[in-house]
Amino acid sequence: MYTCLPHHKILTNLRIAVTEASIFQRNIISATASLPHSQDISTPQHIDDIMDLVTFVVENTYFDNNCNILQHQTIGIPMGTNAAPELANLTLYVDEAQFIDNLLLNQNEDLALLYKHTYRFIDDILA
Amino acid sequence: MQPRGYNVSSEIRTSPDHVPYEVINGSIHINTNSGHHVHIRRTIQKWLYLSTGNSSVLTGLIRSSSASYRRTLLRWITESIPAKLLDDSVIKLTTEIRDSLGIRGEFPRSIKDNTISDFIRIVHSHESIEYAKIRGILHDSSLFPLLHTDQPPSICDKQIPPIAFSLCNFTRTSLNLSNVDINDSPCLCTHILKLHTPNDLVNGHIMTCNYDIIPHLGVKHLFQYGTKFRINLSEWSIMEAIDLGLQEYADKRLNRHRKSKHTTLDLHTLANDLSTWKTIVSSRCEINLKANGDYKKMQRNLLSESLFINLLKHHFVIGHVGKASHNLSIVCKKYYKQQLFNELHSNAYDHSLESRESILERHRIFNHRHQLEHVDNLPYLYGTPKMHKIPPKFRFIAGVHTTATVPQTSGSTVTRIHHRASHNPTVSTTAASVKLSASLQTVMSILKEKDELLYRDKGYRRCWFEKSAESVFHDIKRNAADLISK
Repeated sequence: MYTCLPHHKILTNLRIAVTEASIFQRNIISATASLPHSQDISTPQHIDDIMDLVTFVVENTYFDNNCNILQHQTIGIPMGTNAAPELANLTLYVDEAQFIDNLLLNQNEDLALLYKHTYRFIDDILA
Repeated sequence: MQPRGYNVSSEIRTSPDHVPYEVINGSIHINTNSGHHVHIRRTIQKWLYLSTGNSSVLTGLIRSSSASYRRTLLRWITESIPAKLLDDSVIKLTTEIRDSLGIRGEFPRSIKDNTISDFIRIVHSHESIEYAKIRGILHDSSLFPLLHTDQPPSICDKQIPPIAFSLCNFTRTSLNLSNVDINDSPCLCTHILKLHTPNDLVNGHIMTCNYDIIPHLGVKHLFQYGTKFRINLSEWSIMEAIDLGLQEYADKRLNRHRKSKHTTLDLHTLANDLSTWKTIVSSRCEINLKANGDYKKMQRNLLSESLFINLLKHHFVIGHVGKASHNLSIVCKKYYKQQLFNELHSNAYDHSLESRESILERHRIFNHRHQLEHVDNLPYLYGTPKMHKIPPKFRFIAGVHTTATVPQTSGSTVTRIHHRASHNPTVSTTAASVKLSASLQTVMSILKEKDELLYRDKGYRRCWFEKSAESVFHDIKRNAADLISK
């Protein structure tokens, strides 16, 4: 799965996911708890910092297999990258959350409730 | 960048929203608006408020936070509030924090000096060292006076690398893709391993983990033992490893003694005693080894097998099997190279127009800007066979090959293993990736928390990802009543 995710989708979805988490932290968590600096993502600056890292990691995969020329990966994230599971999880999270949001928007609450026991472990889904 | 030096006092932002504190009726009030160090300011204001009331709650909160966080808070107070404005509550809080941090230099040095360095590092394989019975010898209390301690040193086991270390050649093959000659001559893989069956072939090339096709019995057994098997060392290697470990321990003790200012023991006496102790321990180990000849039965004669292994490595790629890494796979080298070459020239990859130096320079600038460690290295791609698929395929993984020249210790295998530094696989994007991974895990935790609130209030779930399979099973078990007959 890692190797099939288009880069523009990863970048778009990651910004949505990070912004959503940042707003939630700013409005709900920060008001009641003290957080270590490493876990504070509540400001727009934090979102930009994370997205800067995402762009760098996703768009800077070059392989040097000594075949005279370097190969630049333009689709997907290579397996073996430290942040690959988190990038893949959050990319899919946005699509899944939007799917439920659309069901609710179209007043399909009963159908949305059926997905409450859905579990996804990387690319394996149990529903 | 905000100056953080002890003697630097520079107002970064001067608008009322960004003044770090205010004095109201003679009391300090920290600004809790968003901005720089908001989490620090909010915590300090919360603790300042508590410091005027129940001190046990404040003490509990302070002690439950990490020491580094307490130091950060203390530093912010020191740098942001002038000493002449400190009121009783700030003084009480800073005193409480300092008290919780303990006495300067009290524990790290003492732990390092008295506990961590008191070990003997011994390189060995899994069984043969047991016949030397070195642990029993070290615990002989009659030897303690020679050590000038009342406790024996511990043993730190440093095992020799498993056979996968010497058998696997996927890295070397993957790093030598320039010579892809798939069709220029007939492939010899099926002629070398003639015992193969149709199940061992993929597109006419051998790709298998069926070791029955290996004609050499000794090599076949090595493959059957698996990637983590360790070959026993010879008798003289065991003694060499023990002597190296004892000598290193004695040297460490003498070095520490030289630096110590609180000892009455003469350095020359200690050196003599340690030398005697080393000789006694070494000779007793040797006697124990000679008294028990069983270890000799465990030794293998690798010389008889090395020729066949070299032949295998010339024509085949030996690597780990995907999802079952204890098994070794045998894949025709030509086929492996072809598949890897095809993958690297598929739609997912472009030829880079930049040179290696230019890419690394860009990465270096990025890492420097984000204060991340930079390493001048790029990853390579390798394949692990997915033998559980029919027909078997490859999973391609980014690997790290250390190109930096690591100084190699000359001497025997045991000596080189003894002095070898731990492997640190990093490339130019590793530091950024590690930092990103930590940040995204925080994002995931927050989204999970948000989802829990939504589920509690409305009954929906938008967040489906799980960090481990165990949590899924735990949740299913917890909701068993709700899930039955669905």
